[in-house]
Amino acid sequence: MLDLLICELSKIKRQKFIQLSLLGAFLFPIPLTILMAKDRMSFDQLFRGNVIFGELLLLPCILGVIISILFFMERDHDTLKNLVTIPVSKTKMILAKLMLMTLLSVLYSVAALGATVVGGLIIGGVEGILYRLGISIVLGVLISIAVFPVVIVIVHFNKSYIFSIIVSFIYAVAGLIITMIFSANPASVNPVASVMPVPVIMKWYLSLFPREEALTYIDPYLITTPACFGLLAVYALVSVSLTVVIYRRKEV
Amino acid sequence: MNDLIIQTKQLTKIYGEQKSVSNLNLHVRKGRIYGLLGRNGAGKTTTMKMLLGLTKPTEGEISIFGSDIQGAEGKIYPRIGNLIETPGFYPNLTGSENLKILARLRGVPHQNAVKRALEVVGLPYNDKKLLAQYSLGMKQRLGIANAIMHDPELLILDEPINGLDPIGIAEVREFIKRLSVEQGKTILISSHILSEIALLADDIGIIDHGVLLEESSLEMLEKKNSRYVHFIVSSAGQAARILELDFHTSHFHIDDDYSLRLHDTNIDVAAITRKFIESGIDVSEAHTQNDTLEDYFKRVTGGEGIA
Repeated sequence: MLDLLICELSKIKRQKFIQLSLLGAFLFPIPLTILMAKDRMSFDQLFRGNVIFGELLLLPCILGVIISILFFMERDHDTLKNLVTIPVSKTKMILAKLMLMTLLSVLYSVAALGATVVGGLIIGGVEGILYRLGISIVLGVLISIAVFPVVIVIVHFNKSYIFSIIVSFIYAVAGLIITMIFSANPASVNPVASVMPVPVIMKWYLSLFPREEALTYIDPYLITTPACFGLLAVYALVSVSLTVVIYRRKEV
Repeated sequence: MNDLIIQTKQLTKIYGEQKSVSNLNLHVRKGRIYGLLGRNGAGKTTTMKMLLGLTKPTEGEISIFGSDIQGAEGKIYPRIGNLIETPGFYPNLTGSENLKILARLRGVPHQNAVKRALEVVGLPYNDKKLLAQYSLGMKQRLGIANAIMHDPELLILDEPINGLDPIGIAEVREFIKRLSVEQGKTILISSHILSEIALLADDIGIIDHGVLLEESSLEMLEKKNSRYVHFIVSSAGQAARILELDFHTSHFHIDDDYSLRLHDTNIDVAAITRKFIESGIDVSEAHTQNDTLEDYFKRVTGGEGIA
C-alpha cells in the first residue's frame, strides 16, 4: 500500500494545479486578517473564520478537483490498463488515491494554519499553536472524508473536470449554507442535513473552543469527538465501498 | 497439448448487440511467436484485452500457463508483459519516471530493470524529456520497454510496430525474434499487416469479424497455397471457352478481360498456349505461380484481404 501511495505521489509531479491548490490555503487568511484587525476580533475568531471559509467551503472544492485529476489521469492517458495488468487491485488503487487526497488535505489545512498564525501575529493574541496544529491535521483528515461522497459521483459519472468542479462546489456551498443556518438557528436545521459530513465537522469543531456568550444557544446541538469520528467513519466506509463497486465495474 | 501457454475455449465477447469475438479457440504454444492477423476491428484487441482481464468475456474460458485466469490473476499476470493499443503513460513525467512507477508496483528492483529495458528499446535512461514531448514511435518503444521490464515469460503485444519508422520496425522485429529464439519467450502478437506477421510468426491465427477462421503454423499455411498458371491473353472470355470445350476444365478464374488463372496444373501449358494461338487469341504471358499468403488470406476472409 505504501508503494501505491508513493506511486500516486510520483504521478502528481509537475501537476501545477495540485501545487497551486496549496496556495489556496492563503486565500482566506489574508482578507479575514484585514477585516478582523479592523474590528479588533480575537485570534480564536480569526481561526474559526478561516476554518469556515478556507476549510469548509474552499477545501472541498479543491479536493474535488484533485480527486478528479487523480482518477481522470488514468482514464485520459490510458494508464489504467498498465496498472490492472500488473496486477494492482482497483480497491487498493482507490484507497491510495483517497489517501493521497487526505494527505494533500492535511497539508492544505496545516498551510492554512500557518497563514492564520501569521494573521494572528498581526491582530495579536496567538495562543495554543500546538493544539491548533493537532486540530488542523484532524480537520484535514475529516474534510477529506467529507469529500468521499463527492468521489462516488465523480467516479460514477466519469465526466469532465467542469462537472467535477460544479459537483464539488454545490456540495461545499450546501454544506456551508447548512452550517450557517445552524449557527443562526440550530433547531431549524433538517435532521438529515444536520448529519451531513460538513455540518457534523462544524458542530464538532465548535465544541473544541470556548464560545462567545452570544453563541451559547448552539451548545445543546454540538457533538462529541466519538460521535463525529463515528459518523465520519460510517461515511468513509459507505463511500469507499460504493466507489470500489462502481470503479470495479468499469471496463478498461 | 500441455505445451500450450494460452488456450481459450469458445471465447466470446458481445458489446450491446455487436458480437466482437465469437467462440474463439486460440492455442498459443510455448516458445513460439503466434501472430494474430486480422483487419482493424476484427476482434484482435478485444481478444487480447480478455486475455489480460481488461474486459470480461461474455462467454468462454481462458487458460494461461495451464491455469484458469479467473481468480489466479495475481499469479498469472506478473508473468506476462503486454502492450495493448497505444501505450498509456503519464505525460507530466519522463519516460524513466513512468517506468520507475510501474517497476515499483511490479516489485522489480527498478533502477536496473528500467535502465536495461530502456537500453533494449534504444531510449535514454533518466532523460529530462517529458512524455508529452515524445513522438508516437518513442511512446511505442517505451511501451515495449514496459512490457519486457520484468522479464516476463509471455508477451502479449497488440500492434507493437504502430507508429514506428521503417528502421524502428526492423529493430523491433529483430528484437521480438531474439526474445523468442534466444530466451524462449512465448509471444502473442497482433497485426493487420500481413507481411509483418509473415516475417515474425511461427504460428498464425486469422481472425475476421470476431471469428478465428484459421489457425495453423506458417509452414502449413505456405504448403496450403495453391499453384496456378497465369495467362495474359487478348480475350480471357474466349480463352475460358477453349479451356472448357477443348480441355474439359472449369477450374479457372477470370481476373479481368485479359487475365485468367488456371488452377488445374495437370494440363500441359504448351498445349493450351498452342490452342489459344490457333484460335486467334494472342498470348502475352503464361507462367506457373504460387498463391501468395495474401491471396490465401483473401480467400479465407472471403475476398476482402487483410492489408
